[in-house]
Formats: sequence, structure tokens, C-alpha cells
Amino acid sequence: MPMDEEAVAAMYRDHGAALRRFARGAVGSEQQAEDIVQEAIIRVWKLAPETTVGLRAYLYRTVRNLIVDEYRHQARRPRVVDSLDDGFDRAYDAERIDVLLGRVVMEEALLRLTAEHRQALIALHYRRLSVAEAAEELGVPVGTVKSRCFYALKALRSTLEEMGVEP
Amino acid sequence: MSHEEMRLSLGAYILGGLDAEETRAVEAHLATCAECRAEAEGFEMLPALLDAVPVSRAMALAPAEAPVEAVAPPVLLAKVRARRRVNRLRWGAAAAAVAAAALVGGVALGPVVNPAGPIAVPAPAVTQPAPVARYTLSSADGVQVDVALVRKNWGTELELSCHGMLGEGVYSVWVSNADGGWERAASWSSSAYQGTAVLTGATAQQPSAIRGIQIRDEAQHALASLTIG
Repeated sequence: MPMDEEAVAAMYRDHGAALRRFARGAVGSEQQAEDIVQEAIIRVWKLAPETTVGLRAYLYRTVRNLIVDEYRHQARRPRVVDSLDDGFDRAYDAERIDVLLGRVVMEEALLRLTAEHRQALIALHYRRLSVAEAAEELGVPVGTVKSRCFYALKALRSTLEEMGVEP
Repeated sequence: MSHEEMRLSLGAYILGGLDAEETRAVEAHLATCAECRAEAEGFEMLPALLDAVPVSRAMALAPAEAPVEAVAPPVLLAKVRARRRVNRLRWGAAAAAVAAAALVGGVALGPVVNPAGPIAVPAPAVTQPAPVARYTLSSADGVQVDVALVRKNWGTELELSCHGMLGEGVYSVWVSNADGGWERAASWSSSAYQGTAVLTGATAQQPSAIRGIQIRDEAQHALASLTIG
């Protein structure tokens, strides 16, 4: 099926916000981020992929390459590092952009989990709570915390696969 | 514990949440159960991938967020219309093959993950400018948030000091621009502190473009709201 305005609008609708979040962590302004996202969508549309499987991963990769190109153009400018204070530090080179990409992809994967699964991962992985501590805090039996952790990791794995990431 | 109980414990085991005795029991079971070993191997890479998200960001993701849908700007669709004629000529076996090869690649996340934690960033040698404005938002329930806006070359930094949050929950600060659109500038969890939380938020808006500030609770209800200018 040839991709037309509708397909581009769908790509923007489904992926625009996530791509912008990623680009915004690496470039100086909302407008620059928006321009990069639009350019990436146009490039992917020009390739006329016949399937939308793995499209997000490909869009991420295209945005990433556009950002890297942008920095190559600006290479002569003095480097100033400032923090965005939302957990993102500005990315100024390919390596940092890749770290940022990893972060944005994982955040998106976490957001796709159910609130209960996300909560379980946050309690055990990020806050380093034990199963018993998490059970007490969440007000659920120990067995429930265990099974939520199990199914949260299952869900995370398949979410990453859907997004085109090989865990 | 039965095989099924062992299997369900594997998530907590991989995440490091079991006590010493349970950990030993799971490890003894893994030594004899190929099915559980395969299951555990499928989980092995996940903690390192999760480490790509800083703890503070992960905590802010705790409340469910509705998926954001973006509406394609007319300028983008106009570009598509303009290029469509040219593009038709490009379609064909070659272009399709390129696209298919590219799509198979996926995102190679492994090498980009930084298991050692946050990357060292050289400290910016910039003196902190004075805030351009200060506001206090308070709700009828006694929630009070002091906001100072600091102009940055990338937008505005919000210095926030929050007191009197009601119970446990995740709160967020939102700013609006002249177009009436709201953007989240910061969020924090009230369970992780006692008394006052001091944090920094950020928005790409210049201070002069900020038309309103809101404090919202987990359910996105505005607890306190302020209109500027």
C-alpha cells in the first residue's frame, strides 16, 4: 500500500510525541526537535516501507542519525553543557545520543506496561525494595508481588520485542 | 516450593528482591530445572536495560499516563503532497528492498546501555542567574508550592519548593504558554520526603511566554492554579 498523507499523519500520531521527546533531549529547542521529527518521518515515508512492523525502531534510528548529522555541522561551535533538569542532560555527541536513545526507549517501554507491573519494577529494581517491603508498601500479599514481578518482566520483554529492540 | 511457585519467583529473583533463603532455594531449583533456567535467561538482560532510566525518572513514571497522540502539522502534510509525485517514481523493487533491510535492523540497544549509571557530565561553569519572578501557589487543602522562574538560554528553569502535600502520591507542575497548551515541567513523589521537597523543573518556554502554572495530583486534577499576565 503506497504511503500518502494519511500514512504520514498516522506515523506522526503514533510516534510523533515519543520521537519529539527523544529529539528534545538532544537538541536546543522545541522547534529544532520538531523539524528533526518531521524530517525523519518524511525520510521514512520516502522509503515507502510496506509494513509498519519495526517502524518505531527505524524512526528512532533516523532521528538519531539526523541529530548526529546536526552535531557534525555544528562541530566548530564551542561546547557548553547544560542540564535540562528533567533527568536528561544535553547530548552533544553520538555516544551520548545513543545513551539518551536507550533511556527514551526504555522509558517508553515502561510506560507501555500496566501501572501494576510498572509499580512492581519501580519498587524492586529502582527503589531496591525486597519483595516483603514492596508487599507491605503496596498492601498486597507477598505472592502477588512475586507474580507481578514475573509478569512485568515477561511484558517488558515482549514490549521491547514489539518496539524492535532485541533484549 | 512447587515448580510453579519457583517459576513465579524468577522475576523477583532477577530483580534482587528475594531474601537469602529464598534466593538459595531458587538457585537450587534452577540447577535442576531446564525450563526455569531458560525463563531466567530470558530475563537476564532486563535489569541492565532498566538501568538506562535514572531512578528519579523511573519514579516519575509510576502513575499511569495516557498515551500521547500528536496531530500532524499541516506543514508536514503539505510537504508530503509536494513530494508525492516525485516519490511515486522512486517506488519500486529497489526502494522496497532498502526499506525492508532497514526495518529488519531494529534498534541495537545493548551497546548503548550504560550499566555503570549516570554519565559524568562536566559541571557547567556558569553562575546561577537570579530568578526573574517568584510565585506562591496554594490550595484550600494546605498544599503550598513556591516557584521561582530562572531564565535559561534553552527556556526556563523552575525552582520549586513544595510543602503540605496530602498523603502519598505523585505530583506534577505544569506550565502553559500563550497558545493555551499545557506542558509538564516537573514531577515528584510525596512518599519519598517529609515536610518540604525542593526540586528543579524545566520548560522550553521563555519566562515571558509562561501564562500559567498549575500543581496537579496523580489523577491530573489541578490542586492549585495561577494565571500570569
